[in-house]
Amino acid sequence: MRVISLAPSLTEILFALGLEKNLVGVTEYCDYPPQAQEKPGVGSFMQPNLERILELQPHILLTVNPVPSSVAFVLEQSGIQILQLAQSRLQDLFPAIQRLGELFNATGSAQNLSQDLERRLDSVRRIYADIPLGKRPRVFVEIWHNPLTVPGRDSFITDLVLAAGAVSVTGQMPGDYLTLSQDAVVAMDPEWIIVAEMGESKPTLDALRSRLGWQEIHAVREGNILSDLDPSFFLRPGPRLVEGVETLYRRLHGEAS
Amino acid sequence: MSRTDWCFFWGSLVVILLLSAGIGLLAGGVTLSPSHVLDKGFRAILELHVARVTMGAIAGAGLCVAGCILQAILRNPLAEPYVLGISSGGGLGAALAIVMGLPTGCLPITAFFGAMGATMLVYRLASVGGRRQAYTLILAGVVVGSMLSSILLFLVMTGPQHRLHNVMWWLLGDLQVTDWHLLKIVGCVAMAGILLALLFGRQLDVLALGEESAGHLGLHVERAKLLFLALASLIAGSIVAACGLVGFVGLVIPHLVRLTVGASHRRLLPACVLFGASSLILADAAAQTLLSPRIVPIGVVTTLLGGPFFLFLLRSHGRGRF
Amino acid sequence: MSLLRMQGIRFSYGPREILHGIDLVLEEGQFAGLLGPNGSGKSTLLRVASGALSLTAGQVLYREQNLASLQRKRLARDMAFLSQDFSTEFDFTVEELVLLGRTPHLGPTGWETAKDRDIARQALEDTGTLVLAERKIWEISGGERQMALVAMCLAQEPKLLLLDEPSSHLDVRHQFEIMELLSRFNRERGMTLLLVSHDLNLAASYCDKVFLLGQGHIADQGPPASVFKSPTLSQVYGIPSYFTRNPLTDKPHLMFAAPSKIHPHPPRPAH
Repeated sequence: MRVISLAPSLTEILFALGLEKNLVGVTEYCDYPPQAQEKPGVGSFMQPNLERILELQPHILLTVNPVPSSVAFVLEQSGIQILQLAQSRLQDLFPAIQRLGELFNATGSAQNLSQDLERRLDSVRRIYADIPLGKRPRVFVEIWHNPLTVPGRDSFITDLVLAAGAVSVTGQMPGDYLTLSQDAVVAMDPEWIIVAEMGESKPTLDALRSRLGWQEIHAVREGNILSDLDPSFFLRPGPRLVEGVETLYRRLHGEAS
Repeated sequence: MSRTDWCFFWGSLVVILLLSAGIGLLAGGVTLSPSHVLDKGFRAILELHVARVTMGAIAGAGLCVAGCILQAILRNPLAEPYVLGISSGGGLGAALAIVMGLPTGCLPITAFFGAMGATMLVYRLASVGGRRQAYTLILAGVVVGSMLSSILLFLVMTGPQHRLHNVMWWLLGDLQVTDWHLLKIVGCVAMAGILLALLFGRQLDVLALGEESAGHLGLHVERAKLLFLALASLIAGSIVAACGLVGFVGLVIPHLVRLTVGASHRRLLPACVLFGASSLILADAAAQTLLSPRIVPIGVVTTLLGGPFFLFLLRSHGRGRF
Repeated sequence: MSLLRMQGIRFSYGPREILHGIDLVLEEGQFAGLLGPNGSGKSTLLRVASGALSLTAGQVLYREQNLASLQRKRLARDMAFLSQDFSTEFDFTVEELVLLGRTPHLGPTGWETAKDRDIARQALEDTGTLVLAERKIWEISGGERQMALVAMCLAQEPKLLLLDEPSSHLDVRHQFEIMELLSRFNRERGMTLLLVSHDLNLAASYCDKVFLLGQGHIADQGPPASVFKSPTLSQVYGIPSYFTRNPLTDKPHLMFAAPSKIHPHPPRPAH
């Protein structure tokens, strides 16, 4: 069965399940594992190249978010099935793995993968299980600096932080991502700051220190800034989130990455 | 109005400004209570609020003064700092910095040069036959503004997605400047501009009579227009560079103030400085607290309040005099 | 030395030449009128005299100095101009407007002294508009506004006042009021006046000298009586005229009629 993936996270799952031979097309952002880049590109999720998709003659199009309706219409006309698998929370990972396993009659591999990931999460969970929520490290995740963008209640980043035995100070805020005022961050006084941005304009520790009012924040005073974490752990809700949980736990507790 | 009436009037404006500043200091993503002001533990938050209120005062005063200047030299009630492409130029300058991934410190510089560049372009385009008539200036501003906005949108669409959010946010305005250094530079430039406008404000009255009349009163009309245009661009451009686009302030406030103090710039400009500063501080306080801790961009508030006000002004001043 | 001397004036609006070589001399203390039909170029000539327009050829000399070489402000201290179509989008008060007339005498910041305010007040009094001082200029009547504009020109303390149709949109009483006022200033202060008017008779009642413009040339000039009596005037206006004197003032007065309406035996013209 020929399948095209419009989501890097789903691409990663397919490779993890050993199903890459069915994969005939990926987006330009599907860069993990490296072999994924050898697959034909079909544009991006936001701007899928309809002609390329049709040319590759897939049976199924895998996506995380709804496809633009004009594209969906044409696909349906051509008999291509669209399968949307939500991937906005950490726990969405497991239903997605299971569903893909069913699709390719690879339920065995699916179960193995799920169980392995669960086991790894569990082993981290057990370490901090006895520590009450109030005593866990308070973490502030900055997704973008201008405007100040943070993960809320419905974001997998919040799940990730929680799974790593910490608490996101913005974790109770409504929505998946929101913009926050500077003084709110200062008031929350987090112990750790994770800079989850990509790119050249990523703020350094000095940059954070020079922000008005931020010098008083615990995390800034102590230098508890994590800015070198692999962004693909944070910006892609895929199987490597689990690796992200493990890494985050180790970093928060002073172990080298 | 008698002398005592005027003293009362100016005194009230100053009191309103002080009260607004007080409210602005307490309001924010985190609302303080008066007792917190002296509390050392809240010093950092207070610092942020002070920066925000200061920027609000400078932006409010500066945008209003720039609006007055443009309305006078163009003799058009629709003129405001953004009609002449200052906003589009500034937006494009900032977008270029963001898209090229330049450090945040470059943003104000590129925005400022973008604003001044756009204004100069509009001015040259509008100078048909050596005379810059009011209508052609506005038309040129609209054309250049549209062109620059298209380029801006193109840049935004072809860039990575998070850049889009960044640029759109800046386009909506944000008075919270986190860099004291930037605030000081912008503040000094804007205040110098405001001071110059106050000092030479009477020439705006003369220009307001019409170009020929102004010439007959001994004014170098072309030179005066160019200098005032540059002054308005300087003030508005530097504000755009620091806090993005805050619309309608330079349009509505001068009209409101004229209803009370009349058209003479001798009184109009100082009143606009005081009232403009107060208004923007209060509008921002509302924007900060309405959906706390989410921020409502200040540009949204000023447009939502300013739009209907402007329509109302247009209707009540139907005969076109202002 | 003449106050204003215009030599060989040529002016064009784009490709069309409006003034074809005009020579005009205005002596100090004269109350002169520029007359002529529509399109003769009288308003244009007045604006050329004020320095507002740039010439194709010729020069304007103010006190024998080329207008173009004089500083604008310096000139404005001596010369004031009352436009025909004053229009501003701003609603100044009458007092604010008149004070603006002081501009050429003030520094760049335009700070007014008590003396400037006194002069403005005096101008308001002279034009009978003091009572309107606090009113907005667009809330008063057309006649009152015109008087306010005259006050603004007077506040400028000019030696030469150029007026473009100062009484054209006013009722009869206001027309005469303005002319009386101007005449008084001419007599009492020696203010030189050059006024464009399409009302020949009104001009004739007050002007010492008139210039008749026809199709961009000076067709005739001289005291009103001689210009009115000359057949040139009828030619320029393209309509038959009849010279007489106003019974009330004994000033020259022209009457006109369409050729078809002329009585077969008109009475003899007066002298």
